[in-house]
Amino acid sequence: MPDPLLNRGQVKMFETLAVLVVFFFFLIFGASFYFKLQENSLMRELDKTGQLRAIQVSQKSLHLPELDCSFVNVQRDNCFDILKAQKFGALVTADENALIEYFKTFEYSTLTVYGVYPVPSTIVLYDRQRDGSVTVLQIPLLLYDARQGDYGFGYLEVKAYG
Amino acid sequence: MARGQMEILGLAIIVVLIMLGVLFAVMFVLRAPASNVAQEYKESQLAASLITAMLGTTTPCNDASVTELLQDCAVLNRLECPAGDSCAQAQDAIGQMLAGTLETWKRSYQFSITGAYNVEQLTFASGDCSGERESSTNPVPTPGGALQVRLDLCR
Repeated sequence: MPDPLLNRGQVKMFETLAVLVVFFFFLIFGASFYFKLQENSLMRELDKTGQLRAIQVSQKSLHLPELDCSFVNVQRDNCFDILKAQKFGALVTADENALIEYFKTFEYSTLTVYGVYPVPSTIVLYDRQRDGSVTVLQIPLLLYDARQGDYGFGYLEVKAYG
Repeated sequence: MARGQMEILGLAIIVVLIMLGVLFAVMFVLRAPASNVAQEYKESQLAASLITAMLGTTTPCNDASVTELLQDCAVLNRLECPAGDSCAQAQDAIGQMLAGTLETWKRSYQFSITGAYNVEQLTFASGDCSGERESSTNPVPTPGGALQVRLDLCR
């Protein structure tokens, strides 16, 4: 004949176990939601930071003395000197030290100037890529040619790698 | 059903309802559109800087800028250009610039100029422009009054 005291003890133990199982179930469920939310919020923050960096890089490049059109120290807005841009691109491509120096300014990004009018052209100013998300910005520009004294039309494309 | 059982059932229903509520809240938070800082910046800057750059561009017509072509087109229309007169040259230049930028980027837009009959013929458009839009207007002074160069970027 089974001991009634032992049976009651077993039932109590099962009850305690069931409560623990339910408790841990809720704990794991809640924690997984919490971590999912945190991950989502972190991804958004990273994405936002990447986008802000793209804007920062584009603003830096638009005001870089190595590229701008300045006349008697007065800088023209949204304008690149095409001769400066060609030399800058060639220098950064050929000279590892220049690439390292400009890495402080542009970090992981690609800056390309596209000439649209009157003659289509492409000048890669800086290119340092890495895997991950990419934010692309295009900024219309005047392209000043000091040899002719005239202005072409084009745009600067900034690809910032996250 | 015993009173105790009824109470437990009620509690269970409340717990299920709270969990459903939390689940919905979490779903909404996860599905909320991410903030697009770069897009907002681009939209606000693009129309204005595009018009400014276009108007300042030099054309092959006596080295006149697009602004000067529009001024001539609106008032005298006496410049002789590779594309014909100043209106035709402005049409050609603006068309090429818009094709090389907004149309290449597959952006819907409407470009128009008001203030004189001749320049009002210079209109360009691409894509659907029935929704929200970001606009920019630049005045171009002429002896007959200011022309209004307007670019609408559509979303």
